[in-house]
Amino acid sequence: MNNAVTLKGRKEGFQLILHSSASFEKILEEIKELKVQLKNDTQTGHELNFYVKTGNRELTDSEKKQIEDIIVDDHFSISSFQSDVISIEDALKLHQASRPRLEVRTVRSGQILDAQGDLLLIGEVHPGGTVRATGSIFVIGELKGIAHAGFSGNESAIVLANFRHNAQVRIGGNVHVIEKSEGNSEQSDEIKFVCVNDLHIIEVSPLHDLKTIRPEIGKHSGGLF
Amino acid sequence: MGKAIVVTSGKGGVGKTTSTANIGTALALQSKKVCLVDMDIGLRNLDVILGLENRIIYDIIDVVEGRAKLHQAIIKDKRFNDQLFLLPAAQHADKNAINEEQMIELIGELKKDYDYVLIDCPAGIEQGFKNSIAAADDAILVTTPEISAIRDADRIIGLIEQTSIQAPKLIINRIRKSMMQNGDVMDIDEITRHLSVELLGIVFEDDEVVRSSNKGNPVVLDPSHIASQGYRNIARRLLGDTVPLMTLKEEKRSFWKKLFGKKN
Repeated sequence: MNNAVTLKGRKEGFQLILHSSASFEKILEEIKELKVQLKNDTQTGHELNFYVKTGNRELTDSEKKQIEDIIVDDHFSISSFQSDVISIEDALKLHQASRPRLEVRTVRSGQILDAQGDLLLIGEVHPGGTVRATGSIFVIGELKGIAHAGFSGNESAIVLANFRHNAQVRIGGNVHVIEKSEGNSEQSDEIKFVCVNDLHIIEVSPLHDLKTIRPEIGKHSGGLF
Repeated sequence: MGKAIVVTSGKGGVGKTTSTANIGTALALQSKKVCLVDMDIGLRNLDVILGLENRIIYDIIDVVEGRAKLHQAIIKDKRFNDQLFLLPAAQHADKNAINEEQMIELIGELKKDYDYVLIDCPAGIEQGFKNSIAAADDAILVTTPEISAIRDADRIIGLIEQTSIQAPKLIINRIRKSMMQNGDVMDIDEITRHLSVELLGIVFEDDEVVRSSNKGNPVVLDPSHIASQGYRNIARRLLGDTVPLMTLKEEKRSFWKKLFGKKN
């Protein structure tokens, strides 16, 4: 009889399966019938908790609301909606968050390069230019402008570059000015990284300390995996 | 209560920013507390000439839009103990990001704390210029002995006369002695008479200006250079001293001097 909605009892509660081949109107109709039936079958004072499985269908907020409006009352509640699919937009977001964004360009004076997550920049940041990322920033090339890692407040982010020029590094709300006087400009060419230490002070450290100071860098576990 | 002075020219490239940096530095050397305000929003340079570019954290637009307090945006020049300060312009905004009322409020705030507030005006007569002159008490007009710069300076004087600012004081910048002596360009008297404003000072063309600006040091720090002396004199005149104008004459050594005189 029921071909749009199936009710199953599980350990976790009642599972309400909405078949993705059925139309949404049909589903609503059947949920209404089901509700009336359940009301009659269950004794008062007994609470029922549902979780809704939508299969290969992604419900919009208003559709979820419609279902909640029918089911939820004093005795019935919905704990969650579960779907086997996600929108392409969300998928892209997850995809982007799980790997550093690669940019090959020159960031010139007055330009701002914004990135969600980590940023790998191959190119130069000119004086007056800004690169910003919510995660860490890695620069292959010359950093002469501003690099702002952990832009949204993440203080565990780092900035990695060869600090050979006057520049400015910001991590979260901390600011560090890299000052190179003419005397020590050729002092070292090695790559260094800037991070915020336990005392909430920005410090510049040599590359070989990276694994000890920030062991989580490089283990990208953002998103699904 | 300090004084707000706008440094303007109309034409670009005549040395507004260089003059602002050097006059400000010279005033600081005379133990005045000076704040330089870069109004060239979108094409800022004053910070570069002062060698403070990488110290900028907040700028004037951050202050106007409430992202930072005024004192957070002001950068102290460490070379002068608590004498010279810079309020930098924003680089990723344009001149319309701020208006005249906001400028008046901002400069009014600065005048409480500083003896001199020098406003570096952008080239042109658009919003950036209007903002720069809105809050100024006095104006310094920079020109070069080129007819195009003088023409623009004339236009600026006309615009400033329509405001409550006193008649601007003139700086003739980048004078090449030989050209002026040969009559290839208008001479100092002619320019001053033509523009009919008070002459504040003259600055001779000096390669050292570019050389030292490139290193982030205003030329005025080293008194041995001819441009440095010009700017130092201008600062002293601003403070009320009477300083004679520098002489245009190229030192011509007479035959006898060449023969018997000491080498320089």
